[in-house]
Amino acid sequence: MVLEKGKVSSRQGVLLLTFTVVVSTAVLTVPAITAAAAGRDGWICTLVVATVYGLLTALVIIKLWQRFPNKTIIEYSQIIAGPLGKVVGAAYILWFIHINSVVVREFGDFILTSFMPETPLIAFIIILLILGAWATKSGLEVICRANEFIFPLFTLSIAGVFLLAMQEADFSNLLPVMENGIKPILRGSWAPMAWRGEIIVVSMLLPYVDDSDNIGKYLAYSVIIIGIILTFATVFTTAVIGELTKYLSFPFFELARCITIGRFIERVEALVLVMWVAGVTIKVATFFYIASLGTGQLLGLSDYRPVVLPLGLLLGVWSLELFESSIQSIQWLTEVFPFYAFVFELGIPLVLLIIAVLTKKGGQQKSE
Amino acid sequence: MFGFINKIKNIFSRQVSENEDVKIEKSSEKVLLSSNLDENIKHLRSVFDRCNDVAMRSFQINAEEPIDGFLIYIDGMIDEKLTATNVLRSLQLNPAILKGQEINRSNVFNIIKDSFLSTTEVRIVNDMTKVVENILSGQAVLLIEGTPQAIVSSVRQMEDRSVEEPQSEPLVRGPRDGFVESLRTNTTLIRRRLKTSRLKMEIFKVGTLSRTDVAVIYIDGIANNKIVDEVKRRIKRIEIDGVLESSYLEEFIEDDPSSIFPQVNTTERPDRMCACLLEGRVGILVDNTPICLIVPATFPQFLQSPEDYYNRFPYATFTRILRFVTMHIALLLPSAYIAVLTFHQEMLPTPLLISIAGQREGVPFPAFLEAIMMEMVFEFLREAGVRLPRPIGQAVSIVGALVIGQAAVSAGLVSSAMVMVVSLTAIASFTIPTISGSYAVRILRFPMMVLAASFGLFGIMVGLMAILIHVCALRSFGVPYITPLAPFSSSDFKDSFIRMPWWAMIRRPKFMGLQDSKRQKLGQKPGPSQNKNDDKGGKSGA
Repeated sequence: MVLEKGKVSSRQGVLLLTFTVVVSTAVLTVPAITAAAAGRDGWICTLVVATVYGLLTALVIIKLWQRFPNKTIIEYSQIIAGPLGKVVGAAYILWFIHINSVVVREFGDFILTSFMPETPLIAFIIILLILGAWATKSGLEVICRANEFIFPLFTLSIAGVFLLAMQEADFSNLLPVMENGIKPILRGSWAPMAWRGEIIVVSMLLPYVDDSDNIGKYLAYSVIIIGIILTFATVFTTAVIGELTKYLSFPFFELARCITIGRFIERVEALVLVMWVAGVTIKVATFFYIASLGTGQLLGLSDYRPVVLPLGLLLGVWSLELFESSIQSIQWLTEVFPFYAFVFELGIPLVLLIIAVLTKKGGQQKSE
Repeated sequence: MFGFINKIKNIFSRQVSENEDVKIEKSSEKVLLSSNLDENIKHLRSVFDRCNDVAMRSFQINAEEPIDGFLIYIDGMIDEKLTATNVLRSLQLNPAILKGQEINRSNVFNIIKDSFLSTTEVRIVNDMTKVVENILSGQAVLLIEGTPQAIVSSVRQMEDRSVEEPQSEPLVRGPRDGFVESLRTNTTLIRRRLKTSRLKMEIFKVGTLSRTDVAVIYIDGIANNKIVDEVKRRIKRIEIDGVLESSYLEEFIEDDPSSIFPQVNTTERPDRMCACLLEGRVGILVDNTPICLIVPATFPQFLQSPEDYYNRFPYATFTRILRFVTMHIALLLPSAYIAVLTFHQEMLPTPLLISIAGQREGVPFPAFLEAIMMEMVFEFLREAGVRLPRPIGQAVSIVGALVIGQAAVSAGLVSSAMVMVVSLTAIASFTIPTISGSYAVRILRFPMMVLAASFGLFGIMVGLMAILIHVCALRSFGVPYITPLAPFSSSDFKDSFIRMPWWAMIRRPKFMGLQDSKRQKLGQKPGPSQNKNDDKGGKSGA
């Protein structure tokens, strides 16, 4: 049964989509979280450790996909693990929904604290979920195309913030390197690693990519490019804001606030808002989509669209009730999320791969 | 939300149910012509009962023993002079050329068909329905005693507007001719530009009462067969009583009828039509209207003018980028003004903020109300100016300028900054070269203003994302609407928001899945030494 009839190219579905999914939220929060643990060495976490982890995750995803080229993780987990696979699939769907509600909540908190403190949180959540549901109903092709359209705007606005913040930057803030040894760096790496691991979303999308030759290459590129962008973000926030980075919720946003051009253009944080809304819409839509698609596949439906509305309601309520404040959400993202994410990003896929190899399930050959 | 939209959709689709089918004026059984002339005449008279414009003429063919003939046509749709000289006269006078042959009842039909009728096109029909159809489409039909067949002679000539410069798409540089109401003239205008037998024109009749000719035009071997077949299929599916303008067809063949964006391109210019045909698109010409349809439409087309191809490429690229910017101004300027004044005052530089705040001091309305009021006034004026006869139209613009520009500001109803915003928006919206494209922007401006008033810049961004998701989901005859932006294609990008020089556009647009995508050969970039011999000569001369 094919729930998604559309096909996307590997550039659209793998390279660009994973980039937006990871970067849109990571660039805002990750610098603060790494700075809290690793101080000025946060960039090593994002550049080296997280990239290695990301490549490892990508490798596992690709190996699994090569065994089951036309299946999503929900489908092949059932082949590999039998009835237990259903449980795994259900767990994945719950995880997708949970992560999505965290993203929605993060977004709501950000708009609330930074732009419109008097509007109720639920308004932002509903608006974002309507957009996400609409994109989900329109299908994978539409999400990928919309992402392809905003990708240049997204990267340009990030690059614009970096360039304009250059004059405020004091790179001596980054020195000395590795003052306290390797331990704090490893501790600071948890969050960027968990974010990089979100490339697991492609395990739901790979069957719908029509040029399969480039998938591995593009997934690796994506991990590396994300690493570079996040490293820039960490370096610049440290260089501009310095030691204070760890106390901020959204350091990248503060970075944009510091920018002035010729004393006339000030406060270009609207640029960040534009980037944030566009990127988060895509991210929410992607998670929404894979959750709906997964539910459809798990329950053996002929169409995933009927589950979009119930899932949307679930998402809305969950994200409203998730945290009591944005402080709590940051704490959760720092202390709980990474370990929770590792299970789903690397743990389960790795176990599935090992079982598949041992029981010789799935085709060894690459799909044509 | 979606359920509500579906309900509305159902209302629209339910309007015509199976039972109340449009009554089709078509005799169900085939009536063959009889060899008795009087019987045929009687039948035709009953068909054209109370049709005052049908002219019937009985006469005698001047043979050894006179044979009765009958000529029927619609007055005003044929060339009277041609009919009198080439049909009637040659039949009534017994031509001396055919001395050797004796004309009698048995061979008169063939002799007349082959030797007497000196009009260019002659056809034989033996079916009464066909006879009636031909008469109605402006042919003269000749019936002869003793023959169960009729001769259809093409002497059609209708009152026509001459080819003029199209009013809706004027150009500074470029051809001055435009389509007219006659389908035949329009096809000639196209054929004159594309002198190839690969240019195909297929005629369909649409409309049970109007029987309008609709021509589907494409270049065989370039246009994607799938798209051509889909166009024909969608046109054949139409069942409507009358087609008076091409928009009737447009609404029947578009992909998403509830979308605000136009999915069919229209033009009044044969040169634009031909350019689109060369790109592999399919043209649809409808009789009795100068506006022709082009499918599939892609969004960048609505920001393009044929002049972009007649001006040198740097100028064309400049104007295209300009239009891209002005489209966004037309869409977003009022909402950005509202958002900044209501929510994000800090984004303005302080001196500017003070100046605007000073102007707004006496204004009793919030920015949103002020903006929506002025935008509405502008829409009133525009509508009034379009519908009025031209001399009064000028009065409208004077009143508008005075009322909006002066009185409203001095009465303290609106700030002068708002007037600036509205007029800038208006000017920006006039730069969109296609009417349907500018309509979409005009309408979308209002929801964007509401979003801006409720959520500021965030609302604007949400609106833009909603538009983006919508246009990404749109397709026009299978072609994604915002190609070449998404899915991105670098070779198609050469002719979208920029225009590369002609010698660089080697391939036709890829997104349509064309059969023959090569436009011209590579490496035609001109330079100072285009001919090697010339170059040598130049050197030796120096």
